Amino acid sequence: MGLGIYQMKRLTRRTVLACGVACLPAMALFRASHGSGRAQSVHHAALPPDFLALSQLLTGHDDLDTSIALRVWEALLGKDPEFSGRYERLARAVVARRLRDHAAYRASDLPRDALLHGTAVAIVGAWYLGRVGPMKPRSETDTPAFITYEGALMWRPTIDATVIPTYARGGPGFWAEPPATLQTD
Amino acid sequence: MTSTQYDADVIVVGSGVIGSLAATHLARNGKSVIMIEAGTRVPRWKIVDSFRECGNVSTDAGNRNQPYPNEPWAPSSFVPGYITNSGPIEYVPGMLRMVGGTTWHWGGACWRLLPNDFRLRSLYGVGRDWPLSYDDLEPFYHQAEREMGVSGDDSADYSGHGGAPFPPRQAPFPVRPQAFSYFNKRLREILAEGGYPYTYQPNGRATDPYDERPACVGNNNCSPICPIGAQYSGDRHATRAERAGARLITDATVYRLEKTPDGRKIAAVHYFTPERTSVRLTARYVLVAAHALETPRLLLLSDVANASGMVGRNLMDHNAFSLMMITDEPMWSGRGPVQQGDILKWRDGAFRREHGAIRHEVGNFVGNVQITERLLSQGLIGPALDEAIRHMAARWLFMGSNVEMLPEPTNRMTLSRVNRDFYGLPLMNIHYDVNDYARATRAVIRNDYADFLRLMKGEVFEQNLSVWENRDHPMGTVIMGSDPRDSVVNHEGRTHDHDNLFLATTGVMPAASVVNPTLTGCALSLRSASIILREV
Amino acid sequence: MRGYGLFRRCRFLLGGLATGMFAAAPGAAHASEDALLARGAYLARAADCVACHTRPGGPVFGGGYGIQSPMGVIYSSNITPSIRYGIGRWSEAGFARAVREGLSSDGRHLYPAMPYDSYSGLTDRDIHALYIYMRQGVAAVEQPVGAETRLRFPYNFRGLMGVWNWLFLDRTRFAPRPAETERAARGRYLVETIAHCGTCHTPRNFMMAAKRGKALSGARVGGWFAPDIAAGRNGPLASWRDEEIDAYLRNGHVRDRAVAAGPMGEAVEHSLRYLTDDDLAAITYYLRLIDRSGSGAIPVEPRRKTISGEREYGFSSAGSEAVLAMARRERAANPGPYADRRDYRSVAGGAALYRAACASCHQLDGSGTQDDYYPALRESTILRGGKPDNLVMTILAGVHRNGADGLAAMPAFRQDLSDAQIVAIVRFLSRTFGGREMAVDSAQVAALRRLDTADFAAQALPSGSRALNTRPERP
Repeated sequence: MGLGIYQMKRLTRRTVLACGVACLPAMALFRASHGSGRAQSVHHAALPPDFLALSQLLTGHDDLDTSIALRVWEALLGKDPEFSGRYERLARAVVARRLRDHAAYRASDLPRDALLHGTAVAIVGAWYLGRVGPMKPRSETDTPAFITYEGALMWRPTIDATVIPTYARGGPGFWAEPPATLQTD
Repeated sequence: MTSTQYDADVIVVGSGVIGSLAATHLARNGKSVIMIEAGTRVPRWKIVDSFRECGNVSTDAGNRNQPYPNEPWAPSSFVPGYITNSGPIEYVPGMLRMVGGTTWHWGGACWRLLPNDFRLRSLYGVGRDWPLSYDDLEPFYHQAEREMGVSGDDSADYSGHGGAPFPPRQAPFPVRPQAFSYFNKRLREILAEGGYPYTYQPNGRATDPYDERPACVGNNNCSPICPIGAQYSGDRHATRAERAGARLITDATVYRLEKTPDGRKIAAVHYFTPERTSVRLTARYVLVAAHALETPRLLLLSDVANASGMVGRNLMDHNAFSLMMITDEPMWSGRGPVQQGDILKWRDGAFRREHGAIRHEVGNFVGNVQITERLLSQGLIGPALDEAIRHMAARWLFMGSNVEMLPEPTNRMTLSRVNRDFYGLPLMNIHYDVNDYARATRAVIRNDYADFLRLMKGEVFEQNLSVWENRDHPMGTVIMGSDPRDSVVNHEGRTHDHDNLFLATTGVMPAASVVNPTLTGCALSLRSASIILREV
Repeated sequence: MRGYGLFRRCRFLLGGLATGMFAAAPGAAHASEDALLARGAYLARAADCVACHTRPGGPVFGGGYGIQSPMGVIYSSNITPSIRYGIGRWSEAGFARAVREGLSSDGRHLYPAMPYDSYSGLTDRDIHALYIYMRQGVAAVEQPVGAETRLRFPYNFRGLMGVWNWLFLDRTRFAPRPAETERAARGRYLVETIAHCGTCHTPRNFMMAAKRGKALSGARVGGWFAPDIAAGRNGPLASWRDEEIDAYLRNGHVRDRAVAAGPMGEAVEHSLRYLTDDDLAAITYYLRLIDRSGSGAIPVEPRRKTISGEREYGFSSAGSEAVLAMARRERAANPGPYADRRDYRSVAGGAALYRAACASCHQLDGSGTQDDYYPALRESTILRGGKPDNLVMTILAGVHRNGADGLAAMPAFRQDLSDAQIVAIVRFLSRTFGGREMAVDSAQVAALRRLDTADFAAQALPSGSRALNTRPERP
């Protein structure tokens, strides 16, 4: 076994960053060499040791919340039992091309590969939306796999201007003025 | 006054805002009141927690019932089979069954109707006239606004003509308006160039602390749950009624109104507990305030108040189209509460002979959820995704265009022949279509949308001019009128068939107008309560 | 909401006059009628007469406000010029006796819910201004008070108060002391007499009299604890800057320090926010003179680093992520109640409860909002005193305060949280944001809940409750 989630949790953010993308090829190979084609149920799905690093590469965020990585992975698997295989193909492709950051990913041929890029978007989507699967406006069945509310990355680009709904950013009436950045937005 | 031969002076069925306001008024005036609620009670924090943990709803999308209790004996409206549809238009409104009712997840709009809305038939030759006038209802609008702490613009012409303050009111709004957000201020300026007046939406959010509610600070989550209770919700008056002495029974599904042998009165109310025990309670008066769909269902189940055959018929909503655009300039929707203003140009006028009124309601949502979904669907990831989210969020504009419907007896709720509830009682089927009067608004809305896009120099993000959305504003199902042959209740809210049975729901409204009906339902309920108070 | 205990903040009268009244030369006695009325009105504000002599929603100074006491409920009187119901027939001498000696004009003793043991120091000059104001500046309320005070034996013998007065009442009128600066004298007069701070902040002996030598060292007021307010050496307020103490009195809150809730919130709202800058400065000056260096008190820590600069909106900080992770662990340990949208009673995790009920305003990391509209909990004294009482009371009763800089409102959670849930939140807060976990248990919260005397909504009855005389049928 590679790094299990419990070991992962003990990593500080700094060590993850230090290792992170730089270690990605080695970690991915390690995992690949232990060929995990085995069926995994959602609850027992081991987090691929390179999942966080690959997530960082795909999102371009190097400060992902390590404590929810397993939730992201489980949600992806929960909505697509084949996801493990999809993930592995993408990871292998990234390693083969020695892609070390998001810019390298962009410059590669992978964004034009519908299947592999689809997997990449699914991973990014889970981190950004904090869920996997579409919302069901008039249903309680087959609802999204939930990951996080506050931790969803989609809030970050506007965190200085609007709110994460339900959380106050100040007293009444601040909204009468535009955000300070208006001129450059 | 209270006699021991009754369990209460008045039984109120339902603890939503409409029933709770009446119960509070009656209890405060010394009447013994029992409120019976099908659902349960949960505190606000629990709903906030469920909201943040469910993933199936956001401030601007998803299933708004999702964070709320959903019991087998009190299902929320999106449980499969609760409502089936047999007509051309799907109609299943969002609705909660719990203490406080569906105003837990409303947007807080608190509109008065216009005097003309009460006289559609006389003025424009369409629909029905009400058996009472705006002036008859005004004191109760006033009372409801004070109870709920309604904020509004005293200088606004809410008829949409950009004129003097209208409609007339005996006193200023009890709560001053909240500041318009920069987004709404810019919008007002730009729309004015195109001749569209843009007005502050009257609402139940506390601009300053009001009663026990803190001030609204723009957490932008009015629905599905105001996290801090700054926005009014019906549980406030359910609690207030209790403090005034009313007894609230929860998890109790009223399934039958029992008539006296001569059929002229209601003798008792029967409810089931989740253990399927049946309980019978008696009262001098019964006020059914159980929502515009569950109220007629109860009447049909009980074979009550339906000599006219109108129970369940004349269903109306504010069916709607919508437009989302990306504007040319950054305006930053999402700062402040989720809605602040409306374009009322088509609220009233001679055009109502030809087509329904239209109210364009502008959202002020944080748009990140829908924007991010869109960008991901285009394959965007990485720093470019962050940049695009920010760019579009700063320019996102979401509006819905509510349309006036007329009462059509063919639009009706009937008891389901197939689906039954927890207690084995028939659930509901709805046959619904949007009539030509409402459909005729489409061309007008299309023109307006083109105008708005031109004025804002906007690009369409999403435009719906084909599928009729519903706005969860059911009306007409226990229609009010002066003629017992074609209406269920009279101007008092009293059923024509039973002296001591009153109905308090937006279902009594014989004209839909084009504004959220809650405040009108509340005013009618308080008026009924004042009448009951004199008699009981 | 009201009625915090015997000595809550029942202040009857007085206050020092506007700017430098005390310093005014005797010539000021020739002030016009208007000036005299204005001074009386200011005194009445400073002494916060209105707080106790007006019942909620009732006419101003009409009385009938019920003060919970261990002896029973004491109802305040109508002090308007009404001949029939008020003090319309009272002479100035009779008025002075009531205010300073607790003797009603009909010769009956008043109970010391009326803080005449503080007001006894009022000068004749101020008594005169107050009398004129209460007679001429106040609208007569022509209605009876309503409820009558009926105390348990032996307290129902008002004559007992004569003995009490003989034992405890200090009849010395205020006068500046030799070598006392003008500002110190003014501060002393305000703190000890007019604003009667000691009514709450000075501990009482078993006879409900202020303990000598313990002035302002902290005391229980109903469920609340009015803390030691010494600002001299080793005093709890020693690390506060002068302008912070002033601002606290005027606005009811100071960034990264404390907020006023409960009785102190009322004192700010009804009285302190109306005081002049000079009077507030005099109070602060006087509190600085009270030191605790000889009392064995622990020296006060130097001012902690302000967190103002760190307040940033957003949830990717280590503090926020830690709270989220804590809440996540609590859920994982017992998922049932969290997943059940109906079950709120069995939710027990402190971090999860904090996130759901508190963090929308105070933010996940407890840092409040940048504009301080919602205060930071991380630096608040309420989490650091060791006693959980005020924190528990604030959660139960919320905050409702109108300070000079605006309204503050925190919802009351008395109906929404159980005793055990409040314990969980208090432990979480003190451990996470206060540095050390407070000792608190459900019994303590239950006891405080009984002292939270707001009118309380009945719980929803369970279905089929027999209390309704319901008659079950056969299905």
